[in-house]
Amino acid sequence: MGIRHLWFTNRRLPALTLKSQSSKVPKSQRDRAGRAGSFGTLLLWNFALFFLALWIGLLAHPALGLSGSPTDKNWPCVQRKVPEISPGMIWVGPPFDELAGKWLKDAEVAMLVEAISSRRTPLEEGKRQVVEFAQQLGSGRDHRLTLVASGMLETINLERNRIIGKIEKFTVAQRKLGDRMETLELKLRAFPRKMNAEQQEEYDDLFSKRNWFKRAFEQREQSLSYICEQPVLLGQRAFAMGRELMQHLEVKTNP
Amino acid sequence: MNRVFKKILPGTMLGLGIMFWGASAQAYKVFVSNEKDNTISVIDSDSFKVIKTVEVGQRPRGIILSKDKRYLYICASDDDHVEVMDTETYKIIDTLPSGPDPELFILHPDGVRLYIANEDDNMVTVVNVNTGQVLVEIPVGVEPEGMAVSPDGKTIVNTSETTNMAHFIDTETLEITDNVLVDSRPRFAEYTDDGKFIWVSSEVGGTVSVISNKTRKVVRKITFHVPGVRNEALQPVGVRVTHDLKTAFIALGPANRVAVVDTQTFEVKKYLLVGQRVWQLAFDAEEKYLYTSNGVSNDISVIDVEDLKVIKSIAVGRYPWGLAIK
Repeated sequence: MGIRHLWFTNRRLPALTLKSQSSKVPKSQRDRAGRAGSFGTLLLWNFALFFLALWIGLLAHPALGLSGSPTDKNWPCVQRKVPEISPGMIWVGPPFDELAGKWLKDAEVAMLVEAISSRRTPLEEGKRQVVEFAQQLGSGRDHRLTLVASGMLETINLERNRIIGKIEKFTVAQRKLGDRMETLELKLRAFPRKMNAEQQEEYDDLFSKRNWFKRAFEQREQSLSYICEQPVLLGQRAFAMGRELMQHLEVKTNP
Repeated sequence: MNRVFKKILPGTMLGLGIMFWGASAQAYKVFVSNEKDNTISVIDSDSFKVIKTVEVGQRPRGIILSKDKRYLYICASDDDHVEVMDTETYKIIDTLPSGPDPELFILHPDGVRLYIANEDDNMVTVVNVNTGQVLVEIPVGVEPEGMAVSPDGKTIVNTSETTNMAHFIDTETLEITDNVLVDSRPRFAEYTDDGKFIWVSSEVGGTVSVISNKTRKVVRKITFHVPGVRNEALQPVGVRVTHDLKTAFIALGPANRVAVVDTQTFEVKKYLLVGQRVWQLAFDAEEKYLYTSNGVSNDISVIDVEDLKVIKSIAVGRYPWGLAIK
């Protein structure tokens, strides 16, 4: 489990200690005996885990030089956060300098860029389209292939940035959900062992809310592995298309 | 005509025989562990194609061949053991204890002692591969990973990712004799064939430290710069030095490049674009080709060592990690 997941683990602890998720749990099953004691222990554990996570987080902070992995608190993925794919990571052909945006002025290039950058186009189909494009190129071959590569990387980086932003927003929302869940959890644990009817009603209401938040939290958490894969898949696409485009260059360079 | 044919036939057959024998003698297999697929891909060196995919334990990472190359030892990291695969039948024939989360290991020149880095419990576990017994556990720094053995077998070097050190362990006394501070997150260690130097890559520090085996001090630190690649993407991991000690190859992780370093001047001569997240490296026996495992593009790149050109990419399983060549 990565360091970035400690926050979630820590926050999930109180929720997992409850005996049932149902809001209609019979009183007899709501075993609150010894709640004060177990809550105290739980609280201690939570504090301990929180400070442990904080300590590990500090150790791993890039500024301290102990880890260069982007341990930013809004990045929940096991995969490392790579904010941008640099041209040199996929390309050893002519430089992209001063080509930014120019691919849009060449209609044929722009169409190909759109097709091969889109996640809807299977990789093999994208490669086929590159081959087709390259076969009809005459003079200025390397320039137009470089234009395609530059446009493709620009487009994919834009899309990656958008997804990375969404992942970070997701993390913030998930943290808020966790906070609300924990607040409710603390309130629930503050109820006395023997409750009057009014307290019972309030307890049931809070219990139901807490379960709703828990379900929402867990369902969102399940989608995390899928969304975290998306920047990686786009990176794979950029590399695969760059490699295919380079195959068709007249002048092959390698710095 | 017939007489002439009869005369030249034996010689021709002999020549062809020698030719085919020579060709088959050069053929070898490349084993690749696929971390996400829980498989080992076997590549044939003649065709550069995967000829077999073998299911193994969970999260296979470090792999190494036995001294006689009959067996492949596989770190099944999530199964907390080492698996033993017969390299002829491709069957898993045994498992060895490893300590928790084995990631990388090194086989002593005696062919018996396997030194395994246990990332989760800060130990190096020593296992006898013949008896399957744990001989000893050596406490080292936090998150041990890289492992190297000196050619004379007297010293083991282990790197610890969090402590940022290369620990030198005497194989007789099993005690740490020296700790050498290197840059952040050391991942891999490699002894030169003459035993004089140890090259240690620091993934986060972005450097490779060359340590003298005699003085146990860093004598040189290599840094990298690739035009068009952000510095933080330059994360050295796998290192290999040629037998003639003239050239070193360093895998630069998410930069997707392999740096070619002149070991006399310590200057980088070339940065070769290989596959995505290039991780580990392995030479064939003649050092004609260098193979690289590319963890994100799910392929293996083949570098022509003399021409310094990438000549082939071979698709394997998901998250290729370790390499071993028979």
